[in-house]
Amino acid sequence: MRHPAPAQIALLAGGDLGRWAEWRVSRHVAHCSECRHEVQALRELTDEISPLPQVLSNASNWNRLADEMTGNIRVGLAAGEAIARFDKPSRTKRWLGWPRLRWNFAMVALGATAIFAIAFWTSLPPQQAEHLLSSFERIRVERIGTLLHSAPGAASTAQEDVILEASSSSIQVRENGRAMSLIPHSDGATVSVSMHGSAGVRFVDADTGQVTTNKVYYAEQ
Amino acid sequence: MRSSSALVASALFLIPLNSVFAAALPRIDLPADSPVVLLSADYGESNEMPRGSAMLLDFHAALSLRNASQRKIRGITLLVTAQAVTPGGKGSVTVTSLDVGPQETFPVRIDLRLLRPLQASSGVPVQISLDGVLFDDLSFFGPDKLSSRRTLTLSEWEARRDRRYFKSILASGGQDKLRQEMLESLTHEADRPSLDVEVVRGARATNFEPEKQVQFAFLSLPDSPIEPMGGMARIAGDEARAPRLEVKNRSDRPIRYLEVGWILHDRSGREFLAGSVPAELNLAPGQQRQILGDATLKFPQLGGQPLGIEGMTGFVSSVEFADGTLWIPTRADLNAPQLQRVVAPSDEEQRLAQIYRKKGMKALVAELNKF
Repeated sequence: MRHPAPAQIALLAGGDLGRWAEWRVSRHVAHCSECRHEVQALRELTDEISPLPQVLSNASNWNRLADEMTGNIRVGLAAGEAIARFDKPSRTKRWLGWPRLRWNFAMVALGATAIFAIAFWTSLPPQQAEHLLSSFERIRVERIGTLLHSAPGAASTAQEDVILEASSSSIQVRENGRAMSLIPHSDGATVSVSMHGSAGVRFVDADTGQVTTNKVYYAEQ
Repeated sequence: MRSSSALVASALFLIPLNSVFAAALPRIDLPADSPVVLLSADYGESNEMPRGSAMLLDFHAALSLRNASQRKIRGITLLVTAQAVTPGGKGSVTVTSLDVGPQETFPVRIDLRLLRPLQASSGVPVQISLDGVLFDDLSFFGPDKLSSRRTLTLSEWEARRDRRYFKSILASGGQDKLRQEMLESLTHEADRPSLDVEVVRGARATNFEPEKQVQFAFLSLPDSPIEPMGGMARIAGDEARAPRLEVKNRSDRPIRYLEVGWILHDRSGREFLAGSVPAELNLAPGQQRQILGDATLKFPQLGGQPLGIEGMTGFVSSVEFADGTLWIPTRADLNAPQLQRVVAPSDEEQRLAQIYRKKGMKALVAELNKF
């Protein structure tokens, strides 16, 4: 008896075969105990591992993982390019006969560049210098794909994914697709935020007449 | 659960509700020596339903608390956490401008919505605990994890300032003048521009707009113990971040906390109160210090138009001295046109204006005469 290909058995077990192929393979499986056992084993395995993605999504920060993977891929590509250039035979080999001259030239160029850079930086107005620095930082962030460091006192990478939102209709702390919202029980609410890491909404409760303020915070506060 | 009152409370909650939702009920944790006791909790129309691949828990609690202390309660803060849902964040519900005598009861309402994965339905998703209670003698009880002592005390100082002000208006100008003040307050409240805002910790969010530095202008409040010397923040499109302010203590007392209000101006000349920049510090008389904010504020576009932040104004909104006393702007300070346009009325003024709007002048006068 000719057995179906292992891939077809697997597709049948997962319910992913086309109608015609499913009928054909099912007919074989109905009469072949070996293939029937194979399908049964695959289905049991599927049942066992099906809850795993949800468990993983519970514990993982997918956005961060995606950022890290993208960053690693970009770094890998950049490193590959650099190594490829390093391995190429260099035209400068003809300078090998005059190593002292090459080093002297390099040192002079380096010194001139340093002097120019210092003169340029010191003559730059502070506001322009800050703007240039922030541009360099942005280029680096875009190049590598993830932030290398954050401002002093900033929270860990995990906490950067926690977002506080405030509007007159609700305040919310959002984290990896999960959310906790506090809803004002009235119209005409007043929104307030603090740079210390909190957002709030104040309202006069429609039923009790009490002034109530709902707030959300970062957990470490 | 630590206290016996909490055990009794939990038993009370579980009786009237079906067993499916009972698993999602909060745990309410009051310390054994708490000055407030939980009498009952009504969960009304709370429910839990699947929403796509997630579970939406709509939770409405009307708690009834009794003042078990011998002093009047002025304010209370309850801490709300959902560790299994948002471990990186937490919430609070604060009720201010209270006047609850010993053995009197008062309600606290909590309307909460949780969005969580379908399979994570086991265990108690929400914990409610006491963060602090402020009494009429300004004493405080509670763990104060959320700096509730300062928040409640500040609100109480503002309430006393505004009650004094409205009482003086009533005494000098009668009900007509008080009515005029209330109408102005309600008008300001209705006209005050408001923005939705996102707070992101750390550096700027995903925004490729060019970033610029904008200098702060400052509103001078004559009696303020803090003198702002200068400051700037980074602005990119509809994001504002990293405010940096230079302040000087011009009083003769050391200062341990201050807050600077932050007003934004957009291209079309509109003004919004963006938020506040708080700082815990130790600032001796005459000393100067730089304060920094490390969050990014993002403002969703208004009517499809980018906000286009063009300018900023700062003003000192509160100061706490090392001895625990506070400084807040006077009513005269708050009547400056730029502040009046954007700063919300105090908790107490908002409450009094609502009493006038819903119950009329007679009820307002009776309220002002209470204490």
